Amino acid sequence: MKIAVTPFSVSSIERLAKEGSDIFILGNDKYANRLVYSFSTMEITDAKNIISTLGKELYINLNIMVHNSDLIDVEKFLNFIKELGVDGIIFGDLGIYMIAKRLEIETKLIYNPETLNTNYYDTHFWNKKGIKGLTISKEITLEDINEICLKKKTEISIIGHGHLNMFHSRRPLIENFFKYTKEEYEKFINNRNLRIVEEIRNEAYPIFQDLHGTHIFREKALESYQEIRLLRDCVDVFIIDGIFKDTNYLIETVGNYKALLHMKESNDKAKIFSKLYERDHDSGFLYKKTVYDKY
Amino acid sequence: MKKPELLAPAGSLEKLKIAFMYGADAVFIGGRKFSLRARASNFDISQIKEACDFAHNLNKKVYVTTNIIPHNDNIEGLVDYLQELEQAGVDAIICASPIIIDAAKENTNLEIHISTQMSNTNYESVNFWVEEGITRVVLARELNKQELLELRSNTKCHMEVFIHGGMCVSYSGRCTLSNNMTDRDANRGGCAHSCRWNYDLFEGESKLNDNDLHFAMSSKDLQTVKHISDLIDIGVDSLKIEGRMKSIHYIATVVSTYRRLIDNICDDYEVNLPKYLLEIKKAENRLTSHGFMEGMTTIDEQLYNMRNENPTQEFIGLVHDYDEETNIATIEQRNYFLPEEEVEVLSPNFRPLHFKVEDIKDTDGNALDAARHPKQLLKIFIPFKVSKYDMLRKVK
Repeated sequence: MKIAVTPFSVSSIERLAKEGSDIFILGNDKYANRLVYSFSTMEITDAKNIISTLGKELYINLNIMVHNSDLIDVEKFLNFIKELGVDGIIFGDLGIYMIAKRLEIETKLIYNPETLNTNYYDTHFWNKKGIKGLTISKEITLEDINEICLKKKTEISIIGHGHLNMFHSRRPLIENFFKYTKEEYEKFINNRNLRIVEEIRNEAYPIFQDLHGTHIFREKALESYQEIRLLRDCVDVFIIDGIFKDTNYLIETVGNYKALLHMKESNDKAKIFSKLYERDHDSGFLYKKTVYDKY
Repeated sequence: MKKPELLAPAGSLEKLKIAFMYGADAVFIGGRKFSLRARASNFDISQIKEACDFAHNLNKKVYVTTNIIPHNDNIEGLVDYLQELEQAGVDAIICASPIIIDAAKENTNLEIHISTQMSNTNYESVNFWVEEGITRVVLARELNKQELLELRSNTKCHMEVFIHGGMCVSYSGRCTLSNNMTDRDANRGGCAHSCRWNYDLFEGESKLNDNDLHFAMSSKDLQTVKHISDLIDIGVDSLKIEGRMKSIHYIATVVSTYRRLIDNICDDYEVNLPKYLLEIKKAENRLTSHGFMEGMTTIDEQLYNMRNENPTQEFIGLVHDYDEETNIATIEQRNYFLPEEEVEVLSPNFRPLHFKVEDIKDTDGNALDAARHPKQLLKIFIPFKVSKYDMLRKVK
């Protein structure tokens, strides 16, 4: 199993590699949602050189919901990626598959529509399309992840650590609210210090608006310390997403997971890590089956 | 000018019949399996067959939603179910998952429509489905008319567009608010509509909204009377009304309004938009807007600071039959009404006829001072002929 991370800067890549990161996921915010940092094409090129020198892999995140007006620029960006030579391209919109196929780079694609890869057949369907891999949906249990992996026909990745988003609207919901209240709204756009709290729930969900709309996240970040060794046996890529955190956090978590993977017996250590992180982390849906049709 | 299909929701056989009688060309219904809207009164196979037989006798169509995003343990019985749908005479299924799409392609000849749950927002993604042999895509509700026009120019796929009803605030199919907040899976029929709840907004520890004004994301319902002419000009193939859980009065009012509007536009009659806007308002229990039709949503498309469900009390009775000799109608009560109230008749013939209620009697002939009991059969005098499935509503 490879460990993938979302670096906050080109300069942090070497350190993250040293801690044990195998794959670096970069993106530009014109073409990607919910990035920790928007890399310019020049920075991506610099990162590519460093990552290649280190013998590591570069994935590009291209997970916007594509509208017609985006198509020309998306194709230009895919051409740039093709020229650069990357190891993976993460997408969530089928239009990107169509363009990538024309450019003959569909074998680099990793399909991550956030919520739609929920059963083993998804890997069979996409294998026939010739893509590299799939990221399993966020609301899937450990048991289901295992079953999908047993029957997989493509590379399988999961977001195993970090804040999971749970909502993406095209609507500018923050801006509209402040326009309704006739207050200045500009300072609240791209502001990642905002939270919403529902009137009868004591949970604070991170929310922000950017040029692609409004995004809402779970209150607690996911951690999989006690599951990492089980996941190692079935998942190909374990993604650590650093959104709302920083480089030090990424370095620490990569180091923790690597330590657990290298130990002969890691249960006690894994429990210690879970305990250390429990204030603002939980196990997400790994053990929580959502209700189907009965309530 | 090509006349688009008018596609209506039907949560029951009664609603299906009402939708067809009031002018729908096709309806979409949910089966007992693999369908979203768990609380809608979904159809079993014998009811689906009855629905298809009824529709086909009228030269109309029935589509069945099989649009859950299934997990591994939801797949059992899929092929048998799809084959049962085919045998029942279903005209198409509406899908959102490759396993259901491929199972249908490999084991049946069912026509497949791609659900809006897949949020197809551009012509490249629509053409992905064309390459898969799909003939129709239900487009994302986030598209404006310019985007629809570009789509029309760049795909041969049949385009189905929502014109009326509730709207997801999120891109459809990409939301797990309900999963996270209530454990109910939005993509498997359990959406709790958490996006319609009230929130407080904080920056750090500072609350940004006043105590009497919550941060709300809720959307007004979609209503596109003013845009139907443009959608027809663009060449949209199917105009879809949302709401399998809505009442028969809602379905009758909305379907008949759009039916006449579409016919008037396509038959080149003068279109009296205020009349249609007034008529469709009688079905509304939530505020409405044009959604994304004119571009990015503004505050006019959002709902702020209100509990927005206001059930309409206008619908007072459904006609069961009419005795032309005595002018006495048998009606099923749907809302409280009194003698002397002014009432209008909503019928598939769209006659704007009014009358004043005189005596109200029960079926044993006992005079009543008011119609109080839902579903009670009542006898009232109506001075002109009405027919089964006509609806009575108060004139405000």
